[in-house]
Amino acid sequence: MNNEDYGYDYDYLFKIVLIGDSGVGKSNLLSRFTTNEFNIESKSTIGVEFATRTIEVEGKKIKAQIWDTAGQERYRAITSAYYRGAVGALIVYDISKSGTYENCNHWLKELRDNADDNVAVGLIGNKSDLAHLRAVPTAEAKNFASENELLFTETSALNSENVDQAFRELITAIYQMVSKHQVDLGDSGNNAAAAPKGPTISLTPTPNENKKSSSSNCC
Amino acid sequence: MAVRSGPHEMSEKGHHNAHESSSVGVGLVSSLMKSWRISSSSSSSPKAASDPELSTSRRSSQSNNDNNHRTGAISLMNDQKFADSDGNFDAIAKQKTSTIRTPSASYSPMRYMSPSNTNNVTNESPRTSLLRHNNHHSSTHTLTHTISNTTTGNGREPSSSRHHDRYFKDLDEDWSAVIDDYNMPIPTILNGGVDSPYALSRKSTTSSINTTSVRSTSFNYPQLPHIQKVDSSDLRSEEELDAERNVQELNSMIQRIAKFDDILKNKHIINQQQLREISWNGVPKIHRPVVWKLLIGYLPANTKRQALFLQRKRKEYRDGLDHTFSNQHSRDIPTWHQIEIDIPRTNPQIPLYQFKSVQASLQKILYLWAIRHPTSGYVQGINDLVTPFYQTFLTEYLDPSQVDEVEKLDPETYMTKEQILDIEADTFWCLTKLLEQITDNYIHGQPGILKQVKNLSQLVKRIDIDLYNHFQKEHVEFIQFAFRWMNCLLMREFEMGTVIRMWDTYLSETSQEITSSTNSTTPTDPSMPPLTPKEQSSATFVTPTNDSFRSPSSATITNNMNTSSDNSTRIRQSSLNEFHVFVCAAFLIKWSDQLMVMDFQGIITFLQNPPTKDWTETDIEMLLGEAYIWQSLYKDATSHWL
Ligand SMILES: Nc1nc2c(ncn2[C@@H]2O[C@H](COP(=O)(O)OP(=O)(O)O)[C@@H](O)[C@H]2O)c(=O)[nH]1
Ligand SMILES: [Mg+2]
Repeated sequence: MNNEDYGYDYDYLFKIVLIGDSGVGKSNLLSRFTTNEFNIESKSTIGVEFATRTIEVEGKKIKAQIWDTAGQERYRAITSAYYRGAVGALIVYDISKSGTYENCNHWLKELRDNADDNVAVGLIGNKSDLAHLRAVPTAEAKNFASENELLFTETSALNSENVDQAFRELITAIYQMVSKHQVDLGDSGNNAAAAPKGPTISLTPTPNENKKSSSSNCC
Repeated sequence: MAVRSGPHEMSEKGHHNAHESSSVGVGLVSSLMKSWRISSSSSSSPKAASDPELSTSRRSSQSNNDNNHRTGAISLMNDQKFADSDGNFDAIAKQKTSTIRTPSASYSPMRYMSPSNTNNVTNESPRTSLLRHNNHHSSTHTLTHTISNTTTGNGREPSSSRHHDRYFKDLDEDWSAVIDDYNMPIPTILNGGVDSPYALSRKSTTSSINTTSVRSTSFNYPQLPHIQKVDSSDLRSEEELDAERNVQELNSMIQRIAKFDDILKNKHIINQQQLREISWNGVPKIHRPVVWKLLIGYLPANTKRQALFLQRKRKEYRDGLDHTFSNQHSRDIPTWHQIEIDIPRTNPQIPLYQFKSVQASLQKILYLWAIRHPTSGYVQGINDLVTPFYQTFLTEYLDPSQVDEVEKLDPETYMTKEQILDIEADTFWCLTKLLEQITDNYIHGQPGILKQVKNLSQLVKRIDIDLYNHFQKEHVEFIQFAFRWMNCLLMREFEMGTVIRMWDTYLSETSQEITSSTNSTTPTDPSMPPLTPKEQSSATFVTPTNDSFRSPSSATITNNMNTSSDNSTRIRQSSLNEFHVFVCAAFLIKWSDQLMVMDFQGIITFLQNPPTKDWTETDIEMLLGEAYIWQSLYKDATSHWL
């Protein structure tokens, strides 16, 4: 990659996807984490959107590029394309709506089907401020998370409780995986270890992949 | 229309299979020529011959046929050359498809431009760079000059380029005239606001080559919005110019209102074609509710039938509600729930949509639409598309002085319960009509959107190759930003006022072709007088009977929908959907300069939230005008679109 063209202000770039049913608060978690904003009535997400924030983990600057997807069934065929290149994912449900929690299994499966095998995954029970309406017990979700080797946090995009922490944990997990991976790989030709500046983890398809997809005929 | 599309569809299929090999060119072209001949001769149906107007058009199209034969031959040679040089035979061969198609009698006169454009498009880079190195106001103007230059300089085909010259000269003069206006005294209205001299001259120019094409409205190219930039050499002060501009705007508004009155008032049958032509350039607020209902094909053009028709449709809607919300009908919980989640997230910045009564209305409309269209069902974004109708139809119930307040007032304060139900019904039927045109966008897998995104990327590749290459280099995929553009018809990109103005044009681009295909496939009801095409369309507008309304499976409805759409889908796609892709292209290319210096993240972030907050109607009109020009220049590019 042409690192010289842009002055990179980070050591790593991680693509993370947010998934989960419509209305659980994905977009607000994203805006809370990246710009510290919350919108009671934000518009529904159509297609995909993204935002970034750079945080420091173990002395390294990591830019998290977080993709937000629409939760409606209809869009799943299209959004699956967005799993490509993701190194982390947060599956979000709404603690006050048990249906959104039950669907997490489905989301996990979709993730496993579409994303890289060693993508780091976190489970998030959002809207923890709605304690009086709680429909999903914390213990149950925690159990589900550990069974499936997922990180787990309950958050509130509304009062920002645990939001930073949830993202931070995921990013740290990715970082640890990546640095371990690098050690494993040694200098097997990948520029990852050799050139720590710039996007180590690619979030976009390699030129070859890209060519392949663009030449496929749509009609 | 059906006659035209039949053979071409077939030949296009063959074409798709063949395009791998570049040597196939000659055979392909001649087979296309043949297929065109078939369609051309079959277009002289007895019906056409009996109609004096139609046969005139055939004569004029006949003379154009000859031109096009020749042009076809010339571009054949070109194509071979180009196929060798860049191997992009696919795109070029498809251009020719349209070259040969052009003479079809039912084609819009606008398409007469295609032959010489076929030559132009191949050397697009100079124009592209010109465009990009100008800001958007002046670039449009540059574009005109470029067009006229290329066209005049490109005299391969004398007779057909005479048409082009006339068109473009006319266009060019018109545009510079508009620009010069600012340095001239304020024009006074001498003719009682009947018709501006420009419009008159435009009409007389077009009439000579105008055929009976159903879609001749497209020849009524956009009246260009006034350019707001002030020449620095101008001696007059800003305020003076502002005042002049205001007076001018007022004058032209009065003129427009008079024109609409002329078309709409005291008419037995409203001339739909006239209405489309004039509405393309914007509809006055006071006329908008009625005009939109006419344009979308809801309200019959026969004014004598309108009252009864509305009464029937409004009752039908109420019956639908009664049935759907009765005990015997089990609620589709996931659909209801999804709509419920989206209603509070619909236009959250506009107070109107926070009122409980409005939210309840929209919930009912969307739910009823969803369960009556099970192949599509409710798809997020449809909640956006319903609002321009709803909001516009509300204004009918407001005092003219309060029309601008529509976004702030609770309808319950100025409407009765009955009236609210009426407006829900009108909104429901118009939404139905609109979504009929873009069904493929919302069925499983959203193939319509995927196609449009693909078409957009191909279009940008041709119009602005530098931007296209930059996107490739940065690994920006069109789907990443354009999905929403297609799913919500760019509504998310603009403020509501701008969107509504945009819809004047979009609704003028709808359904004419559906109408004509309906005409050719369904026998006209003998009990009814032969009316305008639109009127017939309203008359044949298939609405489920009460019985099918009641059937919970809605299977019959689905069947109806599918059979009726099969014949016209293809044609249908070509109007609103096609134009929308050009609008998207114009919108994207508008930011080309900025985007060229951005990286992946910059580009996506920018396009996710483009700086359109301050866009005025003038800006949107400029955009629509640009899209229109692109569409006429790259018409051939769309010949392989679906
Ligand atoms: N009480 C509460 N409401 C929330 C929270 N996060 C989101 N919401 C609300 O839930 C609704 C849906 O949020 P949104 O972010 O659009 O959900 P998405 O569809 O998953 O992107 C909005 O009305 C938000 O205001 C939260 O943490 N607490
Ligand atoms: Mg969202």
